[in-house]
Amino acid sequence: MKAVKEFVVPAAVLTVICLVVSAALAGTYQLTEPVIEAAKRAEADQSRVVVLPDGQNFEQVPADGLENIVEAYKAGNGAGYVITGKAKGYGGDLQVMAGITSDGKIAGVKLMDNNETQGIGSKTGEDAYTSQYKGKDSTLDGVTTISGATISSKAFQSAVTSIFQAYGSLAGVEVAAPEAEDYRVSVFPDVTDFTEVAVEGAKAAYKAGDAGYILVMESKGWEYATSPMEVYVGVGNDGKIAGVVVGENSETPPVADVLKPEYLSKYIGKDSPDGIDNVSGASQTSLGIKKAVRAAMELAPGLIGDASAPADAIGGADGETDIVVGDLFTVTTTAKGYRGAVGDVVVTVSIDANGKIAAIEVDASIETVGVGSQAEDAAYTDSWKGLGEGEAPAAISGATMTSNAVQEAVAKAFAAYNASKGA
Amino acid sequence: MNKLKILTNGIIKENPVLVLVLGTCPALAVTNSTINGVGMGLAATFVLICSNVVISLLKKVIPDKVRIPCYIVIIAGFVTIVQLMMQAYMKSLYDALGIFLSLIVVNCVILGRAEMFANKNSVYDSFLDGVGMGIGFTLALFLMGALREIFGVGTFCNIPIPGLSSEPIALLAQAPGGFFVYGFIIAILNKVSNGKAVKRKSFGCESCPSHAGCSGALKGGCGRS
Repeated sequence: MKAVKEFVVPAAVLTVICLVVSAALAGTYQLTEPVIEAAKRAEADQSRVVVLPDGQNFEQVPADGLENIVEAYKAGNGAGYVITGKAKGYGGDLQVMAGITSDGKIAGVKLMDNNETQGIGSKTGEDAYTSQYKGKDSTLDGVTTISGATISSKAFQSAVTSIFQAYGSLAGVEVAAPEAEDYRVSVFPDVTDFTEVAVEGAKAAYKAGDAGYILVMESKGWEYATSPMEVYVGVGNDGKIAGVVVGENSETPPVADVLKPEYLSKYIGKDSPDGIDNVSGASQTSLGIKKAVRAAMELAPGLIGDASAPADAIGGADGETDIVVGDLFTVTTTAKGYRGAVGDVVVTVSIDANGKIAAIEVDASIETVGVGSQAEDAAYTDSWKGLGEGEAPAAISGATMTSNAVQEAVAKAFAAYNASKGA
Repeated sequence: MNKLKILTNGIIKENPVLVLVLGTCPALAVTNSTINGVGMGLAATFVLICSNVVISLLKKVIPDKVRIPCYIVIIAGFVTIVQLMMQAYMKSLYDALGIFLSLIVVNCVILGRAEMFANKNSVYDSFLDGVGMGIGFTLALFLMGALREIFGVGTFCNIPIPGLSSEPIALLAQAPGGFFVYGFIIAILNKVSNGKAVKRKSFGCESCPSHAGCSGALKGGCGRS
């Protein structure tokens, strides 16, 4: 009996109390739920009026066939539609609510749920950005992106485009699509006619009027970027770089400088990326651009018909290819460095007729940024110039494995050089 | 105990916020405006009265072993009812109190009075105690809220006060200000009552919530008087 009193009774009492309290709560909930729901709906309606001021009596319409649409409401008084669309931003999906009037123009936009970076991507929610959408139609002509918040801005725009598509289906009207940004014009501003040409090895290529050619190369930038960069390389009829513009990309805000004309203008007039510094803090992106430019300049002679590539040009950086140009033997070799399990360090060496290194380019983008990646810097690569087989400069302090990988790759290059001489 | 004494006990002599120093979280957090402070005070008072009454009714039924869980379930039940009612009928106050409304469940005043008073006294006495403590709590919060709003924001119940609203001491409306005003009021109360109010009388071991598991209790005290 004592056992019952000690264990069963307390548990039973607690259970009964819980049951009674739950019943009371259920009752209160039943009573208050309709009121709370009505209040929530009124509050939401309030927020819809913000983007469509003339709208009244919003009624939800089904949004299941519509791509990238969260929900859609039609204004009962015929003022238009309020549609919430989404797009993938920098920190995940962002939602945009837009009011479209019955004549297909934007009455207002509002940034809703989002995970964009505070102070950067979050600026898309600010009036300074959203007010530019007022009055625009589906082409979104003239909408600018926020400098340094490209991904968030593009996502916002994409969401608005989806909203227009949905508006089109719901209202049964045709909507014009926005014009894709023409990066080619940024490269050759004075050219108006671009004709597409087929070039193997490039994503796309265009003859730019009489000024030259544009090669669109795809190149991997930052190792964690979600997609490769599109690099537009303009080559003039003189065989020199006329301009470099980075098009579609998912590089992150800190590397914004490397995408700006101020930096990219350094390429103008050169025939290769040699001598151009990487932007501090954006080495991988800078290298990605260099790779694209190098690859483009490889293809350029074929387009322009000018076969005299400069004597100290370095050949392609992908795979093991050896090229003999002038007196130089150029070969690309690889070796495993610190992050050998993930990928190789790629070294391109040009060896002259005396068996000395004339030029060397190191791609250590797989190595730790700021440590092994220092092997790419001119400070290190310059120390290789003029050395012969078996000779090597001091390893980079703190980046021994990467330095050793470079040495190994150079040794392989000399082996190939000797083989080509011997054969 | 004299019924009137039970009632007035909670207002000055054993004011939960200023003497017993219980319920300081809401006291500091929601007193940035008078209306919020009073709103919280009234909500907590309602819960306090209801829980005191129910716990006193059940004091013979609830076994000692499970008394804390039982008290918490009962208190949480009342708090949730208050929350739902507020959300439906007093939305702006509900939004203003935010998370602190749900935190009434663990408000030391309520659990403390349940332990110290309601489980040992009659239903009517517990009811009076709840009313008294509630009034004292609300009064303290009103005082703090008023001071912080008048001098920290320059308004009283959202009505701007000429002269003060242009250059308020903004610090008072924020967290550090809460502490300043709190300490200040306790100091004044101490002075006014000639040290009698704040003298920590020995409340005895039974009134301490951890007395069930405390070794000091067996020896007749933990040394804290």
